[in-house]
Amino acid sequence: MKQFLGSNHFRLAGSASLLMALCAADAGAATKHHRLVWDTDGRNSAVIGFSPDGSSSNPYVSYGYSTNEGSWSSAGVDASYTFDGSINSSFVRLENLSADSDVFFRVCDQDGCGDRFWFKTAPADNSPFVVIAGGDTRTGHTNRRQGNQLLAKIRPLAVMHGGDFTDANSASQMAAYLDDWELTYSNDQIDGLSYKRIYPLIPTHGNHEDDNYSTLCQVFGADFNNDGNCNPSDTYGAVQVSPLLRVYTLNSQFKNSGWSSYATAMNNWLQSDLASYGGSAQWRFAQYHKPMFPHYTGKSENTILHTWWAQDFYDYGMNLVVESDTHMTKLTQAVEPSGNGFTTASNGGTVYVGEGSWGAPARSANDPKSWTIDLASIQQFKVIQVSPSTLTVRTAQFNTSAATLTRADRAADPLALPANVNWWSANQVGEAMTLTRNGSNRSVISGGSSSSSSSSSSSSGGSSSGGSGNPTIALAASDDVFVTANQTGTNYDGSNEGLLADGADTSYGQMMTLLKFDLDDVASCGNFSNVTLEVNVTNYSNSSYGVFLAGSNWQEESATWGNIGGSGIQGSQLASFTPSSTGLRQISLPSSAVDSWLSNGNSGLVIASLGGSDGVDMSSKETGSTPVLYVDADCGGSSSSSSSSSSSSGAGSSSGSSSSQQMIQAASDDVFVGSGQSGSNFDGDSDGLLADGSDRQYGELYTLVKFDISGTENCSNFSEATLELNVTNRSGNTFGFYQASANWQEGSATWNSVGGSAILGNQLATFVPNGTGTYQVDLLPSGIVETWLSGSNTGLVIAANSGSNGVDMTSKETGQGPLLRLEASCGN
Amino acid sequence: MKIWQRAFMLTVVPAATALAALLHQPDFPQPTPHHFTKIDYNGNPLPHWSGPWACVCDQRTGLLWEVKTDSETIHDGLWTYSWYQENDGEFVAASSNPGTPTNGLGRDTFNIGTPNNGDCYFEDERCDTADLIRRTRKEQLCGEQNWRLPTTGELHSLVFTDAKAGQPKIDTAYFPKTKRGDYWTSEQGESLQKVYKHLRRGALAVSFVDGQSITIPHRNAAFVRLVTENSKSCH
Repeated sequence: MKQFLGSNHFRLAGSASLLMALCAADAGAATKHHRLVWDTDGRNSAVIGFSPDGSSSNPYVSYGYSTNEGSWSSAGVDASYTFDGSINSSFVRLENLSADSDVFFRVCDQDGCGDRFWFKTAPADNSPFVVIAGGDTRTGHTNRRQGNQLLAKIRPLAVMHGGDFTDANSASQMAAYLDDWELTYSNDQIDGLSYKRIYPLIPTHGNHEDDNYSTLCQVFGADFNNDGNCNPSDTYGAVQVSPLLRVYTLNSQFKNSGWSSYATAMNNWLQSDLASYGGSAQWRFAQYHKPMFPHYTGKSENTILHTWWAQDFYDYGMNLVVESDTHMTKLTQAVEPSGNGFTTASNGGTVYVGEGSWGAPARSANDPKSWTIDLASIQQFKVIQVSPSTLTVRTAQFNTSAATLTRADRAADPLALPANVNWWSANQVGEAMTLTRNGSNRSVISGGSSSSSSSSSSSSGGSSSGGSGNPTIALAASDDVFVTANQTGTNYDGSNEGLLADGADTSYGQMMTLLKFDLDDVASCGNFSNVTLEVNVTNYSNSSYGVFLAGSNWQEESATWGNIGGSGIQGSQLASFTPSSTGLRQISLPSSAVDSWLSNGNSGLVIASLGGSDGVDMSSKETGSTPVLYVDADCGGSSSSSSSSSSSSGAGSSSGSSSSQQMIQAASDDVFVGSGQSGSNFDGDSDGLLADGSDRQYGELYTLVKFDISGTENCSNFSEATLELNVTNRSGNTFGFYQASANWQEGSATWNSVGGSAILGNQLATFVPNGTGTYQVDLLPSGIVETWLSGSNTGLVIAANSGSNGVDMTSKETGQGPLLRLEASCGN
Repeated sequence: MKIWQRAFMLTVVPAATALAALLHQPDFPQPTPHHFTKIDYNGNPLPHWSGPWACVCDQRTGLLWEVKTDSETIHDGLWTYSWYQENDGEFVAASSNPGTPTNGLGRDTFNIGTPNNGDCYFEDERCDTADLIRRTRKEQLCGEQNWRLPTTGELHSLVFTDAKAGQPKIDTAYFPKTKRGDYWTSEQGESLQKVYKHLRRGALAVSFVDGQSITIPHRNAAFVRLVTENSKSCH
């Protein structure tokens, strides 16, 4: 930064030239295409770039930390470059900025000062934030512009661009790109003045920039190595965003012939930097253009990139890699290198996402790998919430449906996301993929499909304030759910409302949130201290809430107000808090809680109102930041095991006294049969459970369900017999529940073997599944349970009474299988 | 060397060599058979060396094929489309869950596939196969109105296995702007596998990377080359 007036201490301008400029401040500078770049440290530096809009001489940047321009400093141009012969750009490097601060600036020249801009420097502490990552803006202006407009609504702290800014890397196309980039500005009224918030970009070199390996410095002023020169060495480097995040930008195009010396230098630098500075942030991201393994058969595999980087990524805990080039979306499991490829890591690895479709026409997502979670041909970028213990990765599809975050919204909650974003929902994961870290700082997908993934992780930062000398272990919630007094039989696991607690909600009545943490990683530890519960408050309350030990066990997928015993589940109160603002909230808990769980069984926590009707909303692991329990512990160097505490409802659980018992029984057999494939057995089919009057492929479809009710022989006087089904594809038609007229087994049942429609016995009940989600069907009036207990337990048949619009339900193999809820008087 | 040995070397060996060369003479290179005919935008045939052409007639099959361009018209080769079939009669709203086939009668009373999940720039929304078919029919490309997606067999008839390495497996002299990628066929309802199994069924495409057919979800953005039969210019 050429600080020709003032300093970072903001002295009043003292030169005649500046006074003249200030007098003409609103005359408007002849500059355009303002851009902001981070290439070193987002906490204290930024590069402001701009181009002349007509005749602009002696431009400079006037900036400060308030809208009072009289207090501003000025910084002169540090570098000027010409791209493709005609795009002239000037770059002003601001340094020694204050962290976590609003920086206001204007570009000035002989005509005065132009539009008012502001940006935010990164925090110097572990405060959370949102970043956006995408690539391939080279064509498809309509989609590119929609993506840019969406970015302005989201208000991220920074933007990672994976390269291929334009198609031909020509001056005219780059000018069009910079025109469109102006759509990313957010419009703000601050102190009565119109400001545009501008977002720092971290650029990457793509193959469409291959005709000019100095594009990043000529157009964006990137000087990653801070040598003051503009050359191909400015296509790779690291940006320390904050103590939470270090972003590595690499140049995959150095794999091209003739660039081997640059490749060697880059790869040597990468390994050295990871070893020296990788640990300076809790999370590490990498971005480069060409995927190692494109998910499209029309693209060749870039195994050389795997050879260069995959092992270093794994060894040094690269948590998230953003690839581009292929024009689609993908999410992978946490993987580790294996030979010339990858394998799903059983206990932490690197997650790869991508693959660049910020305008460029989507391609056929036709080449999934064994370690791919899901992929699709969509226009998208990634929206990533970065917090100390978790990363939450979402894929935003481009349209105009999203609401707009205001400046105040962002200031109130650094993790806030606008409503109605068209999030892509990935198979197994849903809209949000949450990552935690294991003891080696590698990524673990929390609540995802990695069956052996641990949900706990160790924090490298040692963020405990107690100074115990023991490492801080972060345990992401393995189970989280809320229950409501007005819907005593409803389970809200995965609800898009997140986690709720309230003394008296008008709809739900009293509500409690239940949390549980997998303690496997601390099972062999002792000397627990600094136990802290962290929740992300999304709707604040001025009422007080208590944190209680849960008095009995529960499972998130089945917990309801009714089956946990209502407020009777509240055990000893551990703490209280008033969630009077949104954002992350830490609540200190006594260390005895962990000892209690390890000694007496881990039933988790209850968050419940201590009075009042002003409810609190918190994000769940399905909707955003997962609740986390931080524990300092002496683990004696023992390694942690990876296991999941999630449990199946298949065993059936009971609670209550010997006189009245509540029982939940999972289906022992569930299968569907189809007349169109009358000899086929569909046990465990990925379609789940189907019923239909006439399906195009399967013909008439019946679902068969059976429950093992052994253990209830001594029960009578049933007061509840409710069948619960999870509907995934709705139908407006009526479906009947029939007693199966003959016995069957799920492993062998076919349309023919059950006798087709001859399997339909007495009709017991009906339902119309006109929405997705959980349905409860009352079987009590039919007396079917007593019939089964009498010795003829042939189960149920679900069949369409009429119509040809079928219903799909999850089976025990594909999700929550059918459940039977019973309540009865039972003898010992 | 004795005389008979010298005679042997001078006569028998050359004769045997010549005979072997004659017997093992490789086939003469065969030119690419000219079974394609260029057709202009109005449906008129063109000489092989002429242009521009908008369609190609394959005289072996009698099929008339759309030719891709880089003109940013609806026939631009860059555009991709999701697989979507609109009911010819009554309109029924698309599934709210794209990619999930509709449970219904064994007749086309429902739209099938995923609308608007590809990228072209001639629609307000994103693009699907029904968009291209509707517009091409309305345009009467090459004088024809019955444009449709090809069957797998029809599309396979264009696979040119002798294409140069790295080039799409098609005769690019007649079919320029063809991409190394998937081209949709009309055949759908195929079971999906692996990562895509939860989507249940998709449609067949032919990959011009390797000439093989592949089942992919309706929601995929793949390329399209339309075809028509019984055309005036190709029969």
